[in-house]
Amino acid sequence: MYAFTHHAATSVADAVKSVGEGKFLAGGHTLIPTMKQRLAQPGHLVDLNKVAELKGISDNGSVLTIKAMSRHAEVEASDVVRRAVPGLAALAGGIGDPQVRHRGTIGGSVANNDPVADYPAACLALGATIVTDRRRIAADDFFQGLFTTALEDGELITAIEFPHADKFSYAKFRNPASRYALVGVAVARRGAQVRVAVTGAGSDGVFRWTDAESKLASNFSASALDGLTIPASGLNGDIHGSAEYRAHLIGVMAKRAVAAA
Amino acid sequence: MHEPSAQYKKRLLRIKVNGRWREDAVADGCMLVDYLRDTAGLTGVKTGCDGGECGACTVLLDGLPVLACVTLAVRCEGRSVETIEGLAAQGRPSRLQQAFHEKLGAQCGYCTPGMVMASEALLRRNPTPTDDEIRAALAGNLCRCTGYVKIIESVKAVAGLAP
Amino acid sequence: MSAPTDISDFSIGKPVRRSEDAALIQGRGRYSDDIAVDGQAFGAVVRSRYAHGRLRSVNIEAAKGMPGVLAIYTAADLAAYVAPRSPFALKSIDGSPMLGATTATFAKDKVRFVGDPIALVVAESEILAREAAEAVEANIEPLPAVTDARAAAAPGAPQIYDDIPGNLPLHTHFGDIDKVTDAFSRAAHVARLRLVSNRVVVAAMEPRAALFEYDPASERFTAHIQSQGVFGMRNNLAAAMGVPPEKMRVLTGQVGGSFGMKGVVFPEYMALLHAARDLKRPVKWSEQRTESFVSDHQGRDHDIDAELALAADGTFLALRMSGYGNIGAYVTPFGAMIAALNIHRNAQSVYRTPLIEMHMRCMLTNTPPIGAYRGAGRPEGNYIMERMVEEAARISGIDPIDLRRRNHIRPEQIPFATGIGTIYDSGDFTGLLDEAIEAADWNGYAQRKAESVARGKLRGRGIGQYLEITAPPTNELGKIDFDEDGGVTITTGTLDFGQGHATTFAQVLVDKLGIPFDRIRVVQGDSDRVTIGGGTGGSKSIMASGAAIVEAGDKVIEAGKLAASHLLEAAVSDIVFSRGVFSVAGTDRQIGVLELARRLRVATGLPTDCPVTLNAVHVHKASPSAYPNGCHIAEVEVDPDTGTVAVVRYTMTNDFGTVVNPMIVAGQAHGGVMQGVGQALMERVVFDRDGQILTGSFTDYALPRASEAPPFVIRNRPTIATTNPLGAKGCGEAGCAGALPAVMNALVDALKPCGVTHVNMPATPEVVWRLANGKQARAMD
Repeated sequence: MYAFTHHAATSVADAVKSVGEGKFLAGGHTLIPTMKQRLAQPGHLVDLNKVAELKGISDNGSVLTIKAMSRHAEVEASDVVRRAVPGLAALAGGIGDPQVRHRGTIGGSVANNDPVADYPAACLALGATIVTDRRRIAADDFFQGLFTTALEDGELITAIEFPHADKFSYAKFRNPASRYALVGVAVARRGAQVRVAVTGAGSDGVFRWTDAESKLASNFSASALDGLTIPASGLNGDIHGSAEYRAHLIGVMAKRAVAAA
Repeated sequence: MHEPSAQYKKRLLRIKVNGRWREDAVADGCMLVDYLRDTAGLTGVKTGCDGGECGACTVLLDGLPVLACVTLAVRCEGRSVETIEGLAAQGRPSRLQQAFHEKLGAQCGYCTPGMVMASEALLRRNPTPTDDEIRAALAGNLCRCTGYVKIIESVKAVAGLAP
Repeated sequence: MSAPTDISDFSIGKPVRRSEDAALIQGRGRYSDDIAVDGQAFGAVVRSRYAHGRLRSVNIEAAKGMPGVLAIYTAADLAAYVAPRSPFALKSIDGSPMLGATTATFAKDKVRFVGDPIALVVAESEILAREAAEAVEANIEPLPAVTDARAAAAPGAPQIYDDIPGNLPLHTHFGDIDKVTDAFSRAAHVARLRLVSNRVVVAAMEPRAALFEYDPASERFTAHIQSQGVFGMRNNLAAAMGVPPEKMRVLTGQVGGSFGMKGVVFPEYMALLHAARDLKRPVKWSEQRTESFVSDHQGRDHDIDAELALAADGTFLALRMSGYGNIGAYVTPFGAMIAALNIHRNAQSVYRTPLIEMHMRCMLTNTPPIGAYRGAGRPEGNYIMERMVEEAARISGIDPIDLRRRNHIRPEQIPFATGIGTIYDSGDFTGLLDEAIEAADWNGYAQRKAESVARGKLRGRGIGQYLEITAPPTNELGKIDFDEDGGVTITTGTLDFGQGHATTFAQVLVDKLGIPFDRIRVVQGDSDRVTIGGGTGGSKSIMASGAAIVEAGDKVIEAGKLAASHLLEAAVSDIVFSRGVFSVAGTDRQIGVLELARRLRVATGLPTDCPVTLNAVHVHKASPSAYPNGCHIAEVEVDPDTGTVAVVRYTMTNDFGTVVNPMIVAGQAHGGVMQGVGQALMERVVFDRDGQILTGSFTDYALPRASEAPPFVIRNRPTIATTNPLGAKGCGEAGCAGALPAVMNALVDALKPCGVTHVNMPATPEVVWRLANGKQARAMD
């Protein structure tokens, strides 16, 4: 690992002020291994661990707000989340393994926008709002490709707001090696509106499967997706699964998510 | 071009390790695993991968299982770290450790500290885990020797027993 | 002394809890990387980033000037050292010896795989060494690479060595072509399959690590290093460095898994020893996991066309195999032997098959070298035979169980001399199969299958009956010392890397001499104390060390009777030994063995013919290979929507001869099976076109996890080996041998409704999904 300096921020303002050319350190489960492998070399890390403003989960009856430094395990165990959007607690409980869930944070996951991460699919399907130190960004505008987001340099996610849905569920097929999503599909229904978001499969990161949305809008059941396929073009193919296989799994996981919703 | 790592600034770090407060000069880039092994002399914490893939370095940070190989030591300032060496009471292995002995939970022993600590974390929050809950709790811990069967049996053996 | 009842709790056959555990469960194990000495420097290895290329130059100037750097060594500095040869005198068809058996220490003119060591940087700290290693500039002119054995054999393939034409260092043929040809001409049925044994990484959880010291005064090296036997490692390191064996001391502490891999001398060791001597500093080195993925020897990688000829009644007439063994970029001590010899010999299995022909091309490729990995040809040979049996049953219409029974070597035919030159001394293969079928609830299967189908799943079951030939005989030390503190030390040259030797061998001594279990220690890890030893490998430790301990125990008893005759004032012929006690027959005069040993230590004025000690040094002369065997039955469930395969039931009935510790043996079997399940369903090393590894970490290389462990039913059904004093057969590799065919036969059975007749390993979800849905396989699978 290359040398860097570590600053434990005390507030959002302090964090944003002191980050400079450096990077924010949330859970560290992605950034630290990347630095150990010398694939990233920030000279300065601003640690968000002690920023009280970034912790907490609340709900106002229509919107669930999860502060950025909430660990996956906290989301999983939160009664607030379980009441407001139970499928989101289940999603958090399925991320990685216990060690990952006790360190990884929702803000870190969303900011990183790893194409195989779970939270981006939830954000997109639920139409979440990503709240930063300076603005509010709709999930539809936020995720912009592999590891790419609408965040500006030095901009810090402070919370994610999830509007409640009538139904929300997430189903994933794990990569047998990494346990990340080879394909993950999040499905949300809010009245007549249905949103379906796919992670793990897109060669450009998380995306919405609009064909499935319209089918499900008229009939929210797994059988509504019978016969519906998604083209393999534009999907990711690698040693773990071809684009064709991922395309197929998207259909399977979408049905499973709908069935479980 | 970055300065060589020898240029890391060190700072005084206060960490509670296995129940005792320590103060050590630690570099910003020092991982908890290296701090525990090299500075605190707790070589029961093992390194099996280059970062976050195998679970061998699992320790408890404020009671929760974390991977010491991807945790900066400086982030543990003022917090409590427990390692495999801290589980024994008055020199006697804990019930969980004893179960790993009774049920052949260890073969080569290299993954064992991580397995025990991940299991310990599970049992503290869920004293009566099911078979599936045990497997899920150990999902981040790799073992090449045992086929996991006897590790799972070891944890089951203490499920429902007082610690 | 403990009461006899206590002792019997620790004797042979009892599930004694391991004496090794107290350290391991409390984090007190001493693995190589746990050892640190004052003044130690650290080594980091510069490795090739290209799979194949001309090494034009290595520029170390910039790195040399970096902070903390003590020295940098390249091939030019290491020219005096020679990697150990293969211990096997393998010859090609034309009688010529295997080529390429000696290799340079570090890459000199060419690099031949990604990870090929080029230079060693030694610095004051590990991080400084690694940073300087990054600054070493290897000027490599890339050449086209070849990673597949068949491709390496094709005309026009990149040539990896100038002096090894066609990348073919060894081209072997075993068997009688004329007789086999005749058998095939008479066959009523011929089963044919192309069977691939996929390349896997060993993935011992402990990466390789070592600490080397050199004492200029005595001109002696001390190597704190992982091994599979300190005696062999000492000799091989000494030979590599060109020093007499007494100038090398090997110390091995706990070893975090090895599976065959850590037993050999790797090029890094020679460079590190050189550095320790050159710098007069201890030099430590620990491999990173990404290095392990390319610098450790890998396992398997065979691609074989097999044919089984059957008479109309199902009698096996001949097995013919022809194929390619990918042995990687260098000829290691074991790589070619596994492909050329072990597969052939182990394919005999439990059947009478009179003729077995094997034609093997051991191919060099631009990949990490192949070495021993749990089974080392034994699982591959058994996998081939058991898949062929199932395929033969399919094409002949004979029930597969019936077909096995018809071809089993029968108990009354034992001792049975096979066509490949082995003599099976014991075994009841039909009885074993029958018991496995019963244990697996064979008759309840239809209902289980119906339940699976009702849930939309496919279900299949498969048999993997196997027989392995354990490692060739070696001499082994059995030294018993009665220590001052009242304890007893066994010194022997096998080496534990997780098998529980200290417990197992102590049980043998409890049984032999009636010494309390907790008084017994086992020493294996110091070459100054292990004066001879064949080491661990090929499932032979219990036959070697166990026999050595039993025979050394006989010497103790013999000396003890003589000593007791003096102390108890009786004729030697009247002294009897039983359960730890020497007594005068027909009297109550007696003395325990430990007390006798103590008396001899303190006694003075004993008659000259009275032994002065009960200590015994014994060398066991090579017990022949044993033939552990068994029958595994796997049941799998396939999700046709995703291709996921779950092993949902797993039954084993094993014949390991005398089982010293059934708990430890069960653990060995579980672990072996999981490694087999891993190879069958998920593990594989993948290289891209340029020879870069695409599965270079645990996030890309799938290793089985706790969630994949099936429920096991395990039974022992021993027949006692007649060729060693314990009657044991060894168990360490058997799990893999049974699991590969059991799982793959089960999977083929599950996919039968989809018209599938064969699946190659690894049956990853996509592979299975394609087969289950009639889709064409991907080229890369």
